[in-house]
Amino acid sequence: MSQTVSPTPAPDTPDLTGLTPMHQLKTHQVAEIKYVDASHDDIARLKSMGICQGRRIQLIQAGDPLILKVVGVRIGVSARLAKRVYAEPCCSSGKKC
Amino acid sequence: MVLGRSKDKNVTSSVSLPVVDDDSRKPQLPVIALVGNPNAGKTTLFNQFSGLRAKTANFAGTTIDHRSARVKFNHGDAELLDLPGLYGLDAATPEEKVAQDVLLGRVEGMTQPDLVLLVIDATNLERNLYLAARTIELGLPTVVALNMWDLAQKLPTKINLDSLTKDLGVPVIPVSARTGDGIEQLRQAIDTSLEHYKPAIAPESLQECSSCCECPYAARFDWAEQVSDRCGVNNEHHTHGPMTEAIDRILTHPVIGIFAFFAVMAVVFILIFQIATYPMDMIEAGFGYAGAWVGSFLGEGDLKSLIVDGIIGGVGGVLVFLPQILILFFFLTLLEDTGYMARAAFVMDRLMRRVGLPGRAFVPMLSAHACAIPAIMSTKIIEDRRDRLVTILVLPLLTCSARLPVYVMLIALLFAGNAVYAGLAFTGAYSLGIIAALVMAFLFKKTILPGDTRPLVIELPSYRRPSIKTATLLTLDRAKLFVKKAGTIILVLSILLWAASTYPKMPEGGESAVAQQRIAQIEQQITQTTDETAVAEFNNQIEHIQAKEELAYSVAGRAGKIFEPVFRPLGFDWQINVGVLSSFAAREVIVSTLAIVYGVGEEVAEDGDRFAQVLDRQTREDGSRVFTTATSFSLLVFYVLAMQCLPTQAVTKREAGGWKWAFFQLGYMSVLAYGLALITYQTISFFS
Ligand SMILES: Nc1nc2c(ncn2[C@@H]2O[C@H](COP(=O)(O)OP(=O)(O)OP(=O)(O)O)[C@@H](O)[C@H]2O)c(=O)[nH]1
Ligand SMILES: [Mg+2]
Repeated sequence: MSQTVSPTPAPDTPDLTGLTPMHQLKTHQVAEIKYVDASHDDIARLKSMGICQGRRIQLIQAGDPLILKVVGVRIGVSARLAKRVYAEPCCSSGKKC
Repeated sequence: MVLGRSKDKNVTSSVSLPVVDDDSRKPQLPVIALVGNPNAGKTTLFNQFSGLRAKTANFAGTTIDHRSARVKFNHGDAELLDLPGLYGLDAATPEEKVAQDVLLGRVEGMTQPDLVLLVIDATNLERNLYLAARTIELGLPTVVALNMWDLAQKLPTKINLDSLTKDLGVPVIPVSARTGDGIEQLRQAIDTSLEHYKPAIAPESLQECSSCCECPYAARFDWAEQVSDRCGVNNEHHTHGPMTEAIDRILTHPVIGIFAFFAVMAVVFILIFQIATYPMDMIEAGFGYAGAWVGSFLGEGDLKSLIVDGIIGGVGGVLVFLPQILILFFFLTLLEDTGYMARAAFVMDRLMRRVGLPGRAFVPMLSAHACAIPAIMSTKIIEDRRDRLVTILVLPLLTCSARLPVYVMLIALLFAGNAVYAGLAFTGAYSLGIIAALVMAFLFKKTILPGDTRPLVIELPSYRRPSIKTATLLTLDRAKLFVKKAGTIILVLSILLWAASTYPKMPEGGESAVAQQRIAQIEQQITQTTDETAVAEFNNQIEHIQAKEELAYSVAGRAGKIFEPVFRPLGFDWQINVGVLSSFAAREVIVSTLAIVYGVGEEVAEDGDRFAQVLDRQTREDGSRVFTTATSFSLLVFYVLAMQCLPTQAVTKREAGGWKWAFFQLGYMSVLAYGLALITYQTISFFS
């Protein structure tokens, strides 16, 4: 629906270079979450399910909604929310980044 | 943070405990709350302790029901409370919110639980430890049930219990709620904890998290990772088997997934309608028998009529739908238990979003095809209040099973003997309901309840073999709840409806001139025949005529005449009006009302084709047919779209929070039904 592409930059916006919004990851790509733009009410919900800084995620199915795996659980998320989560892709699907 | 925002003086900061002096606690049983992630096995564990003794009740000030049971411990009895699942303390849905409020002691009339029984899924330790952290930080006495131990044992890595106990700082008991292993040890741990009332003290490693300012979530998840590392679990090992992944490739596929969804639902509904016919026949027969039996003790007169027709007949007429509703519940619970429902919400989200509703709204929409009441009650899984309201408002447009007898009657009238057309007409009626619901939802989301649809966030749990026992227990609970809630309203309604169609009583010889003439004719014929069956048949006819005249004389009948100008543009005459008005409270009543109005017996009314033939012969005063194609279609459209169910309105009032919404629902549906029936009648009349 309303895909407003205006991530109101918070005053302390971190450097997003080298980070990929979660919805643009490739299928099966593993990435580490570096920054979550918390300007949406539902972000807290994502965070308590493990989608927050420092967790490693894997994109299982791209699309809208997409499926990702975090802390061993598969979660379906609207692309609308996913694009507020920025992650650093890991070199391989190995354990440590 | 949630705690910081709290205005409640009971909840000051994370660790300190609200001081409750022991005296005020005495008269109440100690409360043990089951807390855990969704699907951690709380309900299964609850059932292990409670068996069949569970009671279902509402949380004060909400419409969310919870199950509780009195459980015996050595130390004394305690009240065990099954709560909805939580991920953290950032509740989104009303259900989660209640669980959170109970835990934080914010529910009116309830103190904070005396003991938290934290249920942790051992097959996914790390994720479950986040909630564990939040809960232990609250500082209530806590016992951890490390559930799914049977499954965890089969995994390659073994959990080091000593390490886990040390890290959590509270007793940790491995159990398998499903098999019952470990329940005794758990019981003992609870006993000890109840006796000593030992508040949990967050271990140092965790205390650092709550004081850490950067990201409270990240800190606790880091803690969770360290703890599970220390007890020898690496989360890469657990998680979904290849089975789940493979099945999901099909069931969550953007295209195949949707077809799969409709296939699953088709099977469920076919099963429901197939299986339900047996208990429905039994209930119908049972009430018929009960009516006759009770009637045999009562003399002819108003009392007998009230009890047999009004109460027994009215209540029985609604209870026949109970089997369908319960079977639906049973299957939905089973499907939920397998983990499929989350997939269905996932694939449906894409479609539902187009009309502005979240994917989760499809479960209530499905249930509404059996009955709107449980459907409205199940909208609690929808996070956003506006989404929830819109869903509640449109649910009664979907064809519930009470509409079926009406469809059967009207479609038999339209297409008697043509199975193909009849089938198409049924499909059309169902589709009209679905389309109307989606269009109205879209309009409401654009106008009175505007706002973005809440984005989907849903866990897709591993597929599991469902537990028949859990589903059965839950369904039985629902049955009790439904009968209790709907039952009282239906009882009152049945009596009112009976009164409206019985009073005022027609005085002796009060029949209309036409009817008197007709009776005289028949009486004449009786004198001319000696055949006993013919005489009985004639007497029957006289009785029918009198019944019809009595109805015309009653409040209901007069109202039908008053409403003639209103419904004439839809092609209804005063007799149909009586049917329409009498079904204001319960739509299926029109079938029996028309049976009285058109003077046929019960047996005929129940046989769609025969009744249709009788209706087909009816003529208006000017000799034209009553049930022309236009009138029949118009009536069908009207019944697809009209509200006509007071119990549903009562539930709307409860769940939407005010009569305002119930009236609005009645209003817009009446306008819609009237408008489309008008268009239908006028268009068909114009072309024929
Ligand atoms: N193998 C195994 N399965 C279990 C065990 N405990 C629960 N289950 C299954 O796990 C599923 C979820 O259990 P529930 O008791 O409904 O979970 P819940 O915590 O009440 O879930 P919500 O009410 O949704 O929060 C069911 O299919 C149970 O049969 C266990 O110890 N072993
Ligand atoms: Mg449960």
